[in-house]
Amino acid sequence: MSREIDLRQAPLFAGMTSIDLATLARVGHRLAFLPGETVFSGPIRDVSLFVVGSGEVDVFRREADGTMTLLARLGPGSSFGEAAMLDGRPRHAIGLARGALACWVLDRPAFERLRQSYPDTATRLLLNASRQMAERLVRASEQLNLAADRPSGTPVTAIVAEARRSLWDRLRGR
Amino acid sequence: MLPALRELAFFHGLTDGQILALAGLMRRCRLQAGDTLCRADSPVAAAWIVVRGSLEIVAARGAVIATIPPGDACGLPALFFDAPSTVTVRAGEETWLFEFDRAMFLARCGVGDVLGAVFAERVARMLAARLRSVDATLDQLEAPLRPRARDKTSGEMPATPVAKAAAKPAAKPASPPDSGFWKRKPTAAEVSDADLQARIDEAARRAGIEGLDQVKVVQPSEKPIRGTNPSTLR
Repeated sequence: MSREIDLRQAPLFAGMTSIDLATLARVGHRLAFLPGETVFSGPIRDVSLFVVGSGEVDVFRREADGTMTLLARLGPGSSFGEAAMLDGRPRHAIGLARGALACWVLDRPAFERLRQSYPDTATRLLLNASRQMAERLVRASEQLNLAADRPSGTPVTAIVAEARRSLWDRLRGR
Repeated sequence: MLPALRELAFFHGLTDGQILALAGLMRRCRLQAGDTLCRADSPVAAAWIVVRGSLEIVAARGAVIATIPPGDACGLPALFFDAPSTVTVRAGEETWLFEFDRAMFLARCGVGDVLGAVFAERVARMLAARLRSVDATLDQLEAPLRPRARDKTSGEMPATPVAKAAAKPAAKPASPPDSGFWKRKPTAAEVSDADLQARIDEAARRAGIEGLDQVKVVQPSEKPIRGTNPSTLR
């Protein structure tokens, strides 16, 4: 597995200049995970922005009875944690490396440094992150509207499941 | 005006100067109760922040599926791409709004000044809040489907009327993953839709909660639509 992560492949960095990417590579950091290793669940990484460089992450939700439900599988170029990085509220989900995994990670202190020292890059990152969140929001909202609008007796479970996937996986269905 | 703006989530934590500068970039609009802000499937290229009053999101069959209170925003995705509105949005009462469009927003954020950076950060935070809100709604919808906490004394799931009502034979779960750590519950695909729907409906009945198909249905407003561009309503 290469030690380098090609940030250009991620939609989160679309349209950014090479200077922006060099800045982001410097401010963020790379994390590598072994198969099955926990990617996020701790207090720090829970509020960080992740971009998958190589490998895959399985995202689970822990149920009240201790079982795990698979919510999404994220591949190279996928990003997650934009909302958590912005509002500082940890995500409830748990991410596990499906195989060997490398991610670019931007935690909240690093993001604050980026905003202070490189405000233009930070703004471009925020706009791209917002665009991604907006896409997820539209797709999830469409599903929820279907659920609310369905004729009486129409099953809602598939709609809800698709809405949940939309919140996590913007690459699905493309 | 300024004290009221300070209370809005969009402006939380900003200096008075930043609040006034941002508010100065936006148009003020006023809607009467029942006025339509945008219709389902109509193009939208602006976002709105509710300053006073409330907006109702109305799905195609007339159900009010959400209410947007003061401080919340509506239409934020339109700042980033062309997507027709999926719902009709109308004023639930006399409502004051701030409106800003995509062209102004992107131009301001591209200037490279402090205000543009603040603007982008505020919009991103509002989108994050909306995602959290959708997530919470999904949690509510999925709650009846989730496994319950085990009984600590017996290790068995507590028997409830819901469980009994849902005691139809479910699809046999697939064998657990080889790690043994994960005790995977059957996925939605492995449990029949009818079974899950029965659980939802039963849980809703027991909780005395209206089902999604019994949410308040509002008849279409008799009032004439005064325009989809709120700037014409000033």
